[in-house]
Amino acid sequence: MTRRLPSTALLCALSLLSFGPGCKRKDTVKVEIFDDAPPPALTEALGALTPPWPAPERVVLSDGLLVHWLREDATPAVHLRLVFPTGDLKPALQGAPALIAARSVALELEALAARLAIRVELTPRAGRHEIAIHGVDAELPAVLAGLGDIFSAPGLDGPLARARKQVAGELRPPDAEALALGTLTARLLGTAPGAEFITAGAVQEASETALRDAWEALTDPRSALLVVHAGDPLAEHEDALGDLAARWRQRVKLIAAGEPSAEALVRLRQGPRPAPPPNHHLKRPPLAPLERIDPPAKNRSLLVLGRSLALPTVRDRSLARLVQRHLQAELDIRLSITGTVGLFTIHVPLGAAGRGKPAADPLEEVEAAETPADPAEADPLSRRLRRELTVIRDYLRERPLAQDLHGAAQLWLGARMVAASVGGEDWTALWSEALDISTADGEIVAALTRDAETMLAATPDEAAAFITRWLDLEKSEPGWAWVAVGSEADLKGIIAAHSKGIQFEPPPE
Amino acid sequence: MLAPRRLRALGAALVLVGQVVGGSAVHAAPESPAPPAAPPPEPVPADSPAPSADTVLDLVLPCGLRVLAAQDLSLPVAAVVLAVETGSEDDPPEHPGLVHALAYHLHQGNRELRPGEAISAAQDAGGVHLLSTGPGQVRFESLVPVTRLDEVLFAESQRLRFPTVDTRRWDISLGWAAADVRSPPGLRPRDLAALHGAPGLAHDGRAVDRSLAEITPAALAAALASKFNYARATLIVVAPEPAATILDQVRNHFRDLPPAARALPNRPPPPPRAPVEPAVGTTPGPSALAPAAATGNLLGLAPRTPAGSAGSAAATGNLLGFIPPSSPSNFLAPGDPAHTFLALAPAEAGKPAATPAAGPTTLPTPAPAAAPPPATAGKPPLFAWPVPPTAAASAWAGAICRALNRQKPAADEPRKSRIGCDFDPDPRRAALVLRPIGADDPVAFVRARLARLGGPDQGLLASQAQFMAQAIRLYGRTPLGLARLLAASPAQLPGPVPPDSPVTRRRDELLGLASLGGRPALTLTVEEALLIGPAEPKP
Repeated sequence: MTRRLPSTALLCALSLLSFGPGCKRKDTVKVEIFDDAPPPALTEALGALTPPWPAPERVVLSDGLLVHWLREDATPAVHLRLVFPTGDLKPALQGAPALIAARSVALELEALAARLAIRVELTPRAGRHEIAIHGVDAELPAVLAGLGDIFSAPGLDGPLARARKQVAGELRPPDAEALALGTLTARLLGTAPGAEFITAGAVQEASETALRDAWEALTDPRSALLVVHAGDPLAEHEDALGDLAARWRQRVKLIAAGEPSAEALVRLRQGPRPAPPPNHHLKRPPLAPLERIDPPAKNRSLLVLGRSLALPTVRDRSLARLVQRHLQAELDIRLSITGTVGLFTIHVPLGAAGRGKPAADPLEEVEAAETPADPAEADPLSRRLRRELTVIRDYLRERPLAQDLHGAAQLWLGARMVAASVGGEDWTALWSEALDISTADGEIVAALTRDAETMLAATPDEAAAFITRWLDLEKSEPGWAWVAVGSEADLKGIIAAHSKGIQFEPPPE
Repeated sequence: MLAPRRLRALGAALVLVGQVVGGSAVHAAPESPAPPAAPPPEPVPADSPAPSADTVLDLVLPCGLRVLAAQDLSLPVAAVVLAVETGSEDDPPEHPGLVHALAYHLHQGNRELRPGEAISAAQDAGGVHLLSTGPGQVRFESLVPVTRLDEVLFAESQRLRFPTVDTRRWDISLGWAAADVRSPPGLRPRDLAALHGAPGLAHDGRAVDRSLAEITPAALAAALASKFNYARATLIVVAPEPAATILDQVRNHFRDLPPAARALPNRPPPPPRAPVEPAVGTTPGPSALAPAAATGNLLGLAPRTPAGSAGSAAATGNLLGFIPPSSPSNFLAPGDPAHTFLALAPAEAGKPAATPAAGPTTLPTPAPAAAPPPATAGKPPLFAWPVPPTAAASAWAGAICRALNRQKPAADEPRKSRIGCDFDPDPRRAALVLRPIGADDPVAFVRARLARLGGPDQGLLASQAQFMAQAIRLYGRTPLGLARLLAASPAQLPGPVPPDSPVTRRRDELLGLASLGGRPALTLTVEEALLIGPAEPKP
């Protein structure tokens, strides 16, 4: 089904009715300097290894699109980042249709590359899809005009069909790690199991109506954010932005009440608050049940322990990141932060499970010579996992050294800047990171600097206290879950051994 | 994720702009750097500009090291590139591949640096470290957080001081060198040697010859000292600090080195070639540049003069050295569309290239021919020109190549006739190669196409020059990109320069951007082309 927009006159009239001065371009742009919090001084930013960006300009266009404009003097490059939130749990924005819709926009932008020197990247992130456009400064007006073309195009069926085909071609079946992480995330955040995955079937089965609804909901300018990094000030492109606002109009049928928010973080975090973390421990009651998942073909078995925790302040988030970077020196430990919720996962490969031939281990030969009283003790894989978990527990209890923490912070912060430089010095990507670690729009401009300063100032006592409170496998606060991926035959010993809680090696006599 | 054509083209153009670095090889006495003579000098700044974000401080330290310092405030990262004016063309005949292996060996440390410390100085702080080797220049490149700049400067200030030499470590270095990616496809070494008149280029500089394993530690130390020393190196630093502050930081690290004069290898300019005679039955047409010179049009350049002569339009500095980040030890990235040219056929005996005739230097290979090879059995010859190691020449080579690739057939040309142009952007030994396709008389065809660039296709050339300027600006926007471009500056300073007296230079001139707004800084005439065999079909 093809939808046709009403004529320009009708559209303009409707817009006027709906938005008052919607067609008066000059009135649509009301720029303000985004200086709720002052940007860090140059020396402060350089010392903290964060971008020395000035206070950006912010404007809400007449169609509701929020624009953050970062200006870097004399840069010949221009970067635009379209941020489309998906976190408010609208049905249209979930799963495959939203991804296909985002891909459709990216494909349409890619088509512009035939006449413009641009490069397009689509990045699905937690709670949003981001489409980055990299080009040269002289073509910024043309890129903005191209966006207007895309978002005012009457026909969506063709682009959506092409996007569906491409998404289907790119999908890979989840491996053991993705399965475990998806299941664990769903359990810790209280989302529906399977919601973390997009399957080939879901891509193929999504109806055209669902795709169109997803496209219209995703690209609603009243919930989107456009971040621009350019050499020109916003004022030089007011007309182009006015044109864009006039052409990029909401298409969703129900017009939400009230004005679109001028706060980026309000737009990005409109969804319901995440469920409280599960009230489970690994060792003490109430015990977190060990869940087993059938493995995908040809994948090794894996155990993943995870926990969620509230990270309400910048300081909490920075400390969590630093601890993760420090522990990563010895453990496969990962951290994802969405809003004010952090999710730690510790990945423990289960070695030879699934292959039938456990690796040679001298300790196992000794153990095999003894007859264990408990049948679960007879399983060599279980014994090996117990030793592994003991090593992890003990490492988590080691007090970090100040130089280790400082080194971890420097490595993390330095690598972030070097990667940004190698990647083309796109400030919008760093701005996106700043969005993630801010709780209010006023914090965004200085968020990376404050984050870095907190990391660099963290003491071993703080880090040790954090680890003890949140990550100690025996004594930490509740909020744990764990998942094992492997066949039932391989994991039955482990499931039996850990059914009464996580097991460690007995202390040496 | 998406790689649109124009951006790919922009990327290719960036690579095209070229990596000019080394000088020319002195095959007879590679171990003894001759006094600087041949490399084309940069233009002396007529009026030294005031230091600003658009300028670069240029300095020669008492120890003979040249330093280029520039400020870049976009991110808190610093790029440090140590470019040594030595390359595979300096390999002794009995030890091909020596310089390439020595470059790897310079990661083995010395009294102050443990093995690999120069790498870990960057990587331990989240930075990257790369090695690039080529015919005329070896570069050690680091991109680090600015807080780590001092450590990296220390490592570079130690790297060339009496490197550790022992057999075991040398064996390890040879292993690293052998594991390096092989030389990318391109002009065959002997053709490149003929093109540049540099016999030292006539071998694969990346191959690890068996003879290298036999080198004694003493000989190894001698080779390292002669080919890798600060007097033939340039240190480029691009960081957020003001350039003067950077220079002070650099001075502190090199203060204790004994005084030395710059000692660059002598790399003479390519030999002039005898004119190519027109094929029988064709009317001698004007070359691209000769009529242009006469009419004063865009391509109106004087005939080629020896590099470094005052009349050279290329005298605006040098740009060079783009190395795709993904292939750190390659000047040419295998598989990169920008580099897939130069699949040249061997010059067949009896039907090769240019007539050596009256030139002061004879070409080693290919063998001279009495007449230019017109289209032979459907395989036209390749026309090759050496590109001077200047930023302006390199930038213009890229622009000319793009323009030639975009020319439409004229009314009197076969409908499917075209020119395939490729530019090998090596910083010191760049080459531009044309492959006429679908033309009955390749010589007349190439001559006519070049002439059009000075006539009806002037607009096309100007737009491609603009494109190249944009590509260079984009590439030089990041610290590492800018440092690589600056590393391609001529190693030879113009005129007498008092040691330790910084000179302020305009960035646009050093990068060749100033030239792209004016007249072409590259002379291409059919008469001066080296004709290389009939081309084999590309795979």
